[in-house]
Amino acid sequence: MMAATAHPVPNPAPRVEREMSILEAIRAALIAEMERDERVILYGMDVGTLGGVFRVTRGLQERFGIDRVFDTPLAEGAIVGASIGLSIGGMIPVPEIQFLGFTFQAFHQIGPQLARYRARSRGRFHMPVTIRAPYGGGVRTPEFHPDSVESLFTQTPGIKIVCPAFPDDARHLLSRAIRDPDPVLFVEPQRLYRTIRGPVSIDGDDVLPFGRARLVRQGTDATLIAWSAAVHVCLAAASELQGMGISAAVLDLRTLVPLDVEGLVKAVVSTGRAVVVHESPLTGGFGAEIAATLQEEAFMSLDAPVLRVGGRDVPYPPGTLEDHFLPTVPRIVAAVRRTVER
Amino acid sequence: MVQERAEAPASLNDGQSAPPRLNPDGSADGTSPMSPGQLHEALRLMLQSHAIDELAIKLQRLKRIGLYAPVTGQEAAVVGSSMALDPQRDWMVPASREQPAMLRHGLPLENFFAAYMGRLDFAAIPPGIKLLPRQQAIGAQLPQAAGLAWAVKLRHERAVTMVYCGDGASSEGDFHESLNLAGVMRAPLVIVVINNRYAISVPFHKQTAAASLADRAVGYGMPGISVDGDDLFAVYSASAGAVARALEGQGPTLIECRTYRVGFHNTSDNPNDYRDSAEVQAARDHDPIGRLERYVVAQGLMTLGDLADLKEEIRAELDTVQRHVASLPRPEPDFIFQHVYEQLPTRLEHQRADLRGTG
Amino acid sequence: MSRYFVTMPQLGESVTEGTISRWLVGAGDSVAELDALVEINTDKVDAEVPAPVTGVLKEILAPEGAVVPVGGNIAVMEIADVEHAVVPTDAGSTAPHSDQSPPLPGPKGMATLPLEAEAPRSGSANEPLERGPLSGGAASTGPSPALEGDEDVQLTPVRRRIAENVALSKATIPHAWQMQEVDMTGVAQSIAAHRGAVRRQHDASLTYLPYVVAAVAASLRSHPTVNSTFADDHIVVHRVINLGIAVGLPDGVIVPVIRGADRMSIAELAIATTGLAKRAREKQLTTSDLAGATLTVNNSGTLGTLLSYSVITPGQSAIVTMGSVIERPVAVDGQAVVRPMMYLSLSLDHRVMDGLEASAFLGACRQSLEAVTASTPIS
Repeated sequence: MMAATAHPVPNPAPRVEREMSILEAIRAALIAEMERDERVILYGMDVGTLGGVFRVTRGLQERFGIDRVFDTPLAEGAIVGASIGLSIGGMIPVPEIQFLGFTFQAFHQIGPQLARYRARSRGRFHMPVTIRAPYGGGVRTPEFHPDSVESLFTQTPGIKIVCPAFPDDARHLLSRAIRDPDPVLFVEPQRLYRTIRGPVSIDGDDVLPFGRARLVRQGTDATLIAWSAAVHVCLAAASELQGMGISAAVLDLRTLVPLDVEGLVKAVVSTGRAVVVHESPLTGGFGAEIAATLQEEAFMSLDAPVLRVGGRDVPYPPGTLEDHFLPTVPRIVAAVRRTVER
Repeated sequence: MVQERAEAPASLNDGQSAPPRLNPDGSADGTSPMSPGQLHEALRLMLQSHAIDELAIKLQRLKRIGLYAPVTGQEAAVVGSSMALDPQRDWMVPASREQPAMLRHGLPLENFFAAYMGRLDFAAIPPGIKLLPRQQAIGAQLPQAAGLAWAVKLRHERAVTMVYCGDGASSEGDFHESLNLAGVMRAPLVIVVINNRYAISVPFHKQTAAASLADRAVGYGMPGISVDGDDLFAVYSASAGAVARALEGQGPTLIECRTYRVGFHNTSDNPNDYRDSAEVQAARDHDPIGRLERYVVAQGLMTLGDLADLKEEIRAELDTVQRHVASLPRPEPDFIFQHVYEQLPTRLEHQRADLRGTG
Repeated sequence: MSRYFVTMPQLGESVTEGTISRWLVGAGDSVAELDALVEINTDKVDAEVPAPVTGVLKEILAPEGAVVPVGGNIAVMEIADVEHAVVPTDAGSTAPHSDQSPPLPGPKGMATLPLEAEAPRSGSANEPLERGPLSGGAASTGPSPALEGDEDVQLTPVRRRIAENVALSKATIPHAWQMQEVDMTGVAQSIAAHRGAVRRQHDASLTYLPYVVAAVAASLRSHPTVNSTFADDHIVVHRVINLGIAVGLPDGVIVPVIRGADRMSIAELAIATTGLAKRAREKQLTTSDLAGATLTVNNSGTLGTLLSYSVITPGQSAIVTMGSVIERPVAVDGQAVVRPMMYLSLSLDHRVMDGLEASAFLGACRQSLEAVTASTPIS
């Protein structure tokens, strides 16, 4: 029993942490939430018996049974559409879309239906649905499999978009997403499922709030802004820039909707220069929203125009040509140098 | 109520026992599958539907409501199927032309009119009413209904979900995906396809090469039955049978109700541009309401005077409710920020303040 | 009896006119609300249109075969004076009814009712008002008795909207008011110097108004609290400075908006105000022209008014009013001189600012105007 203190300590117990990969962190979140609430169910193509094409859900069907973890026919529209009915019927659905690029097949049920259902029913029904989907380039996947289309859903109000880059964030943001009474699109960086490892707190019931960006690297000359896999490319670029005497901060947005405008502005005001990096094509990408927000909120603090490094405005090329499409370390370094050398 | 029916549910496809028929002239083959109380309820719902159609069209012409899509000609298909449900227990998922079924399932008349008349603060489906909102995107309600039926099954509840769609919707991808999913999940779902022969101006023979939409059921591993949608008895029997199957854990059923859209597609549509008035007249002769009226009078359940009184009572009630709703206020501009999320994020709070300040 | 104009409805989206196909009721016939009145053809839809009110069809204005634009008058009906004297619009207020039917439930949405509907009835013990022969029934339509020769003028949509807005403003915003007088000598000299060039180069009028607008915009930069909205438990201070410029038209005042007025030169403001006034008179203002104002500037001096206490637009915290500029004797350095003087008034939302702040703002406007000379650049 701890002695009472005059100033209560917010987290009196020491955090118990375990090192795990992003994939393991996601699985840990799924297990924790399914144990916490029996209404949580996981489903999608190949997630049950196989445990998912990336094995994220491996072992879960054995653990929770076929009523809670099951395979569905190949029908993305129905998978998402059914989540609406499942929610109305009192479940907490966590459907998986096998790759984010195939959300196009379900776009109508995601944007116009799932995201709008609370509003359309004037609050009578809410949708505690979390759609999980892996995405991202760099692993030479066939067409559609690497597509980064999460920003399309920033234009369908009513759904939140969560894109963790680190295991601890993945663990606690996914828990938060599953507990959210509103729909969440949770995108997972497939290239980094197993390669990014980090400490994840495993005791306690903390979840991470949405709309809080995190400065993952301090810097004074420029701020790199990114989410999901691109954060790690930015970190690599920042290292290289350090060698050139340029100190670049890296801000991990973590959630696109809701967007942490305050955190974004603060991170940019402190350096005066911003470069946004994302995999999706440049034109109309979420980097444009960030740049517009920065110039609206922090114009007077900018020492240089906000630059964006995005995918090229071309259809995603075959795997062997990926590197000419994606934002790479050299492109990011060049962009930061352009803002600094003005 | 389904449980009270002593008679066996209608057979499916094999025609072993002849289902009861209500003929256009008001005569019946076989005994009515509905009790006198149910017949009265059905008649009231169908007459009310017709009266609502007439009133709503007039209100639309005066711009007191926006677009309106009448049920005219389809009343037996919609009412007969909905009466196989228990509103306390079962879920009803409409497409967008099922007004009498929505009312039967518990939507208050005031809320019904409030939705059409833009009094959105008063238009939500009340808590406890197991009804989903109308769906404007054709067919999008189908996977949602499949998911809902599936949830009922996962929770080991005893209830049926009935979903409506039209012949046009049967061409959408969502139709295929949903029925396939419901079939493989053996969900307690009843799919009522109201085949009124037109999707706006596109006639059935241009919609599909299939002779009957009920034939599709085989592909999804579920029974399919096609009935005369203007025959209240046939519709009710088939629906009651499908509901019983679902409750017994035997999975979904597809029911095709063959009927005719006597009215226009909606108040912006002119059917004379694409179909023959002779065809419409033939459908009017097949009228579902008329034959029920003739039946109840012939059976001595009601007199012509009773019918006239009923129609007047319906008319007066609609008049009162419509006027009351017209006196309700329209929503404030910042209504658009309500119910987007459970809690409005900061960005949206700013937008709402902007609207309040300058809108 | 009141007159009610039946107008051509819009049957079908994007339809702009309709043809009268067949009148189903004749002049002099009685018709109940929602009874079939007339058949109308459009290129999308043929429809039977019902009567919008109960009454007598007094006169058919559009005969069979006539093509009438949407909103155009097609008939006149005579309707009885009734309790609420309400006319239903597509905003959906209560419908009128004959004296015989039971009274409607009290209207909850005051938005579309004329203000008389809220007035006390004659049944109240305190006000045994005299009833004239036209009032009919036990309850009255309003506080004043009907007099011979009275004409009931229907509220136009513009008038109705103004009525709602000013009533709402006065009911919800605690108004306070201040005035300062401004020596417009320098401004007058600037106008004389530049008026011709502005007319020649831009076909615009250079009047006192753009100078006042510029002064207000600049003063809002240094007094941002005035450029705000009171929002229940906080004040939203707007960064953009969008000034509504009140334009008086015969059927009511309309307030188009100059966005980002603080970034415009006096010449640009002159061009903008001239253009907006012209478009307002020609009924060519769009919804976006009328939205987004953070503060309003009202020129009440065009017909000689010196001083006026304007009503703040709901959603704003103040309104600046300029009066007529007229030559008056004033004291300058102990001497009596004649100068062109203008009263500049500020109505303010007292929840947002106090007198001190208001006078600081008003003073800044005055100083800005008095600093203008003939050599001040205007573009």
